[in-house]
Amino acid sequence: MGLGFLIPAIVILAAAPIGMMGLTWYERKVIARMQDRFGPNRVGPYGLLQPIADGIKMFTKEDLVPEGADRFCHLLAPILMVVPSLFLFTVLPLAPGAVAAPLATGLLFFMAAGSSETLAIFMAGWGSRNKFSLLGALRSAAQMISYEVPLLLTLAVIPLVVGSLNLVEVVKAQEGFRWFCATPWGLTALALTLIAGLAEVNRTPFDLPEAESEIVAGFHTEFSGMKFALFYMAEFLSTLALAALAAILFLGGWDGPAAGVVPARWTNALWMTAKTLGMVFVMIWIRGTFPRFRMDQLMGFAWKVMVPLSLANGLGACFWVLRPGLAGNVVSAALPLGAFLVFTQLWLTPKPHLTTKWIDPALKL
Amino acid sequence: MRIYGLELLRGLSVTLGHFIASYTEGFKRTFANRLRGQVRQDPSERGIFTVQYPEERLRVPERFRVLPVLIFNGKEGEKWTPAAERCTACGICAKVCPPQCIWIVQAKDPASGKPTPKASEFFIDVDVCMNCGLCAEFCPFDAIKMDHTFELGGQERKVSHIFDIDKLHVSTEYYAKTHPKAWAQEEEARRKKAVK
Repeated sequence: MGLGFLIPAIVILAAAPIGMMGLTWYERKVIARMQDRFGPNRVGPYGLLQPIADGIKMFTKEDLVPEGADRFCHLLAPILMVVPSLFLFTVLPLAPGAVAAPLATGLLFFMAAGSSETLAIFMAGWGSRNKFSLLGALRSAAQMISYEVPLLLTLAVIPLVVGSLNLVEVVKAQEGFRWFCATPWGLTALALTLIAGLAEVNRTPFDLPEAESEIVAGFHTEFSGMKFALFYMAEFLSTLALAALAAILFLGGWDGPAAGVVPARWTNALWMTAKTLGMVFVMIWIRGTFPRFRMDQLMGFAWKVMVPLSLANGLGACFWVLRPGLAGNVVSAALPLGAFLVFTQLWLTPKPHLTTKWIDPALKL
Repeated sequence: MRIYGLELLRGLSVTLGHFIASYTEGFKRTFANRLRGQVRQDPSERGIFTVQYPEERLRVPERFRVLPVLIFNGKEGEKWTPAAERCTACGICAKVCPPQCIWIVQAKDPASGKPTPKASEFFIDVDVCMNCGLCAEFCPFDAIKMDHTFELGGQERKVSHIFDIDKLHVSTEYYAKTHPKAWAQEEEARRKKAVK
């Protein structure tokens, strides 16, 4: 056991804040363009230095802790939020050999570390002594519990097909343009992962824990200065990690045509980065398009549509593995499609008309 | 039976369309010099609507009016002379000015000491002027006109915001450029008068 682990650790620690800064710029620019605006364009060329200006502003802000708050929880929450999101990058391979920890249980580790952020969110909500914060934290917990189920059921197809939870192995199984998004079950799984992942990282349209129109800023209402920036950083890092995971699992990771002139590792890293940024673009695109879910719609969507769909998709993937060729493809395409068409009709079923007990029966509602 | 999700995809295509159009229209405006200095909020117009003010300006309408200026017959860049000056120091503008921001001193002939029909001092308090344009409306000699210069912010009020006669004078050439229609009408009227 040498000090070899230090190098990837330092790389991740140094690259993460820079990546997060770049991502804030990217998100603001893309959103702005979708809304017919320029976005940040005053600080530096194309506003590229805007994140640095924001960072300086964050550092100079006052650090406020509300009176009567649980100071320990309040201090610890943003730290505990960032650390797991940094963990996520340890198992993600950038190029062959360029991975901090090629864990045999990489996918499982990713999901476990990712979902532990809920704890930090709950600490933030609890420690703030603010009803909006607590509401946001409760929403976050409810949302995480609901969406963890379809996400894990969806991602279960990966070890089923690849035979390994190691993300390096997953990419190796897709090398030579056998990307999983080109298979029917892979495409469905990509869509489901993206949707459930958006819910996991609390991004629009699943940003109920920080719904600004309803509960101020949710769990980070009472945070200011660098603590607030840490929450932001964690959110963006999780987004980036999730996009990278989707690129690794379904878009072939580092696989892509090599230029020949430059070393293959460089093109590999470039492909991985391009695919990740592409997935991030899709997430920003979704944010720029859809309004926020209502709480009951959120739950209904998870349990009535996503869970059956991911189960059907898993079944389809089983057929795909058992019977390679046309039959497997047709079945693995038909099963999720059928499930989608059937289970979305649940929305149309007439809702039971329940009278609330405290309503005066004389009103005849 | 209703198929869900199609409208979601349509929504995504709308936003992507705006994203792409913001770039294609931007290139068109940059290279084809399209719609430069114009309001771009026609419903059919696509792309970014923002006019980046200090770098890019909207053309102001001709009858847009901010602050009166004094006109002298001459070219741009020339200094005004009493001979070229149109103002006769009659004081109608100062009398008609609702907030009373105009102050005129009539010039005196240095030899005889008699008043001459020229202004030796002409002050306008910029912060008091309410840009009504009555002075320009009432001037019988077309000597005082409303200008287009609207960036007049300052750090103090008592020196730089009291415009004196040197600062107020602009040439007829400048006025013809900023107010082409009004200038043509006035020239037409003067020509008719001269023919009579």
